[in-house]
Amino acid sequence: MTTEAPSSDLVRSQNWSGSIPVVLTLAPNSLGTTMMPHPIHLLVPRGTFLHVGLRSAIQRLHKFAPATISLLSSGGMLKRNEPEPQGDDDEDDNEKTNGVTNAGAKNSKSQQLQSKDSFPVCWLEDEETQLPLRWHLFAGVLFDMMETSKRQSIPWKIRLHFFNYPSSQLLPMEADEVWTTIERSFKNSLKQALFLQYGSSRIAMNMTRQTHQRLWDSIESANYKLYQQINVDLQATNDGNNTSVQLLPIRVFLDSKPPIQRPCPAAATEGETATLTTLGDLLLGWLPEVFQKTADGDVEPNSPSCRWFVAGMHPPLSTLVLELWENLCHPDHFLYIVVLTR
Amino acid sequence: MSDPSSENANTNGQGNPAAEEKVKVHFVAVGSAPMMKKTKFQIGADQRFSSVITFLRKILKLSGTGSSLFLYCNSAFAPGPDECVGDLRDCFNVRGELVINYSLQEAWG
Repeated sequence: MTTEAPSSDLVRSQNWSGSIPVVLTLAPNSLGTTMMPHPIHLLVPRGTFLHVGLRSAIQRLHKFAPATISLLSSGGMLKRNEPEPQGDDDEDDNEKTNGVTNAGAKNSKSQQLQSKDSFPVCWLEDEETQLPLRWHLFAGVLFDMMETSKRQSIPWKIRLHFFNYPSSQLLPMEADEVWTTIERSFKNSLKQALFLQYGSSRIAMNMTRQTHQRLWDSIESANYKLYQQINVDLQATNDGNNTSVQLLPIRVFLDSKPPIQRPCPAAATEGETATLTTLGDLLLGWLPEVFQKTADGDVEPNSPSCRWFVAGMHPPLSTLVLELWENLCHPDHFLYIVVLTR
Repeated sequence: MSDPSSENANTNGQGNPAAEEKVKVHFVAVGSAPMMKKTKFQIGADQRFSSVITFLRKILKLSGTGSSLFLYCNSAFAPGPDECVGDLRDCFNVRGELVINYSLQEAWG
């Protein structure tokens, strides 16, 4: 590694601060009042989940959904659970909204404790492609997947639904358990990555409930410093000592298909020489129908319309996968590579 | 369950005879979960993990009951329902088998 290269800690911290401008509108068929609320503009960190990044906006729009929906979510009334950084105070655009919020705020403390899990079951749709957005994937990965060949549209237009959950396209999400479900999904993904990295469940099983909680807090608050305090022990290769990585946790998404996840050693050994795997080697091996080898041994896509993204970037195919993973993996330790052919 | 669903055969790539390929899944009961007479089953490599969940619920006669069932790989983590059974076997197999622990209660957080 050259000395000029920025530390992976610096790259990761900058990557964490990357956000996507989103405009969230309520789907017309989830409207329960006579007036359509204004769309909500906000920044969602790439390394969080959409439900987490859009939580306050979803709660505000939920007040315009038919009342029966709020009864379905256990607590009945929607409750404000904590001061929101971009709360109603600085956007007093709607008095009705505040009326409902104040009524909710009078609820007892015990109800406030449950308020996270009284979050309504809802789903999000990419307006341009009309595809449901998978809640268990990071916002940045979803955004890269939705990039169209015509243009990368910012702000990202997302539609919020409280009805007609598309169970055939999204993983199940139970009422009363929205938050637990998302958190559990993250935790299991991290444990899976740790298993691949260390070749056993030992490191993952030694994590305490408190460690998991603090990691999740760091995602909820998009706080890299908090994350890194804990992660430094989990991802011990950050100092350049990569001998401990058994397999690199990597997921490749081809268009909008489910993930491909194969064993990926950091280096391929042939006889006595070990060659570090490049992005091109990996994509050629995992997606032989999309990538090919040129006459001089390089890897290239079969079609000029093929594009690939790692954390919103377009790294050359000669980049080492180990370096990509060290610098650009997501909080669950997986490196997500999005390949688009359309 | 033995349906190879050959429509996805190509997504498995890497020159495997994907349409025919099976994964041996070994189910291990945890805690008070009911035991099964037969614990090893062949499941299509291109199936998603969600089909393993559906399959086990059916075998344990939990379909449509709403009772909870938790599945874990190698007593460690719950695979995502959208993950490919063949990929899970390749990444986490124990002597070639995909070991799935099942429990009626949440077992490994």
